[in-house]
Amino acid sequence: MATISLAEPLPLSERLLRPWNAFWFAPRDAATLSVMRIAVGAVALYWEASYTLDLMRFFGPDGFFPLVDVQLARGSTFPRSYFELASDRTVIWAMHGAGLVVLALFTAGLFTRITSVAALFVVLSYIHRAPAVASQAEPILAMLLLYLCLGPCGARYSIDRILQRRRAAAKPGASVASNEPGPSWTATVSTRLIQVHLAMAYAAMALAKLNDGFPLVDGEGTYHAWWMGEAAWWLAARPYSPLLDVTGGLTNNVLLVNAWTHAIVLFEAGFAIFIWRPAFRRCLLWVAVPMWLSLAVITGLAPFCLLMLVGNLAFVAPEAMQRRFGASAG
Amino acid sequence: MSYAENPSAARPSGGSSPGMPSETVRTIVTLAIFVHLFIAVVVAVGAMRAPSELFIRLNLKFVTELQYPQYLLLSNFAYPLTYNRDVDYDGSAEIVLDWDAAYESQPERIPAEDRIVLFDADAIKLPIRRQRYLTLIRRMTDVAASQPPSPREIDMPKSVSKALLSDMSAMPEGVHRFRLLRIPTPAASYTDERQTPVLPPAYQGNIAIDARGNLEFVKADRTSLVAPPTPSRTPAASQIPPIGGEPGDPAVRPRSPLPLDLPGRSDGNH
Repeated sequence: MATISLAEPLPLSERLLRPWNAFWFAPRDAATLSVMRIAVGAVALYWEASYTLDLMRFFGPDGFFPLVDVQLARGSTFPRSYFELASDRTVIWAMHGAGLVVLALFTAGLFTRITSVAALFVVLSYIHRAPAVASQAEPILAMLLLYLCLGPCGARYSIDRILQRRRAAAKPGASVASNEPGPSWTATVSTRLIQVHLAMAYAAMALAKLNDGFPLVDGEGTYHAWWMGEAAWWLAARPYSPLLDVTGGLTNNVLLVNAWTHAIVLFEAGFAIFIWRPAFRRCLLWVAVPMWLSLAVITGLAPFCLLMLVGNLAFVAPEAMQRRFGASAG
Repeated sequence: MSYAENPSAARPSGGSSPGMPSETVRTIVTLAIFVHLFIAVVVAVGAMRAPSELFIRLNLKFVTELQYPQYLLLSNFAYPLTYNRDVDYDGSAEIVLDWDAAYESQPERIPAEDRIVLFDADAIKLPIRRQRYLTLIRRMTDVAASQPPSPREIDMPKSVSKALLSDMSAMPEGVHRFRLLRIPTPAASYTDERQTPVLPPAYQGNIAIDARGNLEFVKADRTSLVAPPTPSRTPAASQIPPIGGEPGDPAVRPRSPLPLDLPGRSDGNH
């Protein structure tokens, strides 16, 4: 009988498959996904609620975007939004209300398997009905919701979990340990997809910034807003966009503007590469906080910046989440 | 130690461990991940500056023909945030009631009560709402400046004008003017004065409303607009190389630079 010693090198297929399977399929706890569900749901709820004052302008029958124009622009009449099925103002208001309820339930973690899919459907309905007002936040929001649908994002810190515990407690002889949600490979797939997609977004952001350069008006040379370290100023000095006017502190501080601009690009490029190295991960995740908050201030893109921070949570180990928020909480 | 006792059972294929799905499930999921991430990369690269013909065709295939939901894929994503092109400026949109040709050269004479603005930045407290209006203005500016002219350049200003005028008690009869304005970002060197160069409107259209309230929208002649004075470190608006397609269509082939007599080149991933 042939024997296979452990010292014997593994076949190539095994060597390729092992890390792949470990990366994508090794089961993990759903604590990280559950915290992300709450954060993504809260941002989505705010994002959708903010449409309330402009609902009829953006989605109404006599609003800015007639349905036929939207369908023409995307080249398809197949409905991609439930707002496309409504022409009555009352129905549109009812749909808006229902959307808010769905997102609230998702955030709270009630019927999460259903409400996670419904939440994605709700968000995409708003985006697809009025794509002309969608900017950076929407693709990140949709991406996070899509991947949260795949994993057990309601397994912890949710109403589902509380109900599950109550049901288990009502059963005679049930132990607390047996009632704990176990590790799941779908949590891993979901988390890994968020990580990979987010790293891709960081890389694309850095590349796009380094890829600029336009001829100057006087024809002498080329202007590079990011390479020349001035982009932070151009963002901060716009009259309507910034959340706060910080130009007073930047006006006579060219070096600060340069440093801020270069730091943004450096961080984005570095994140895409080094976030995969455990030694750099904690540092990058902490640096991301002031980076995105300051960008929110000068760009005014608060939901986008918050969602990038929420996306970063995918790199936090479930054990760390459990330590922070409690292993047995809700 | 060896696996001699039962090699096939003791040595799980592909590093399988407890809790992992079966090999069949892993294969299916792996294929799905490959396909999804491949499309995601193609679309992300396609949304960036001047993609290759291959990426353009793949984008067309995945986004347009297969109707893969592009908002899940970071397409239409303004990665750079700003290049300080004119399309990166904040802007505004307004309708001037009872337009007078003299306003063209003397916009300061437009009475405040005759202006209907798309949004009042001071009145809108919620930043996310303000951003939506600014995004809408950027989109309209993008479409208006596209070369060759997009068939959609009238649709959006027309429907926006109609909705804004509908908010009034009655549709005002007469000829009005829709204007898309750009507010250049002040350069750090002259920020103390807070005086920014005044750019001509990025787009103008005449709105004619008859006695029955029927609305007709006609684009105003672009060539009547004058080239703007711009700070020397600002990219030449008319010479900015193409970035990508029109908003909502990341797969459009990059366009040639605009001729110099046009009022402003605005393009890109907003």
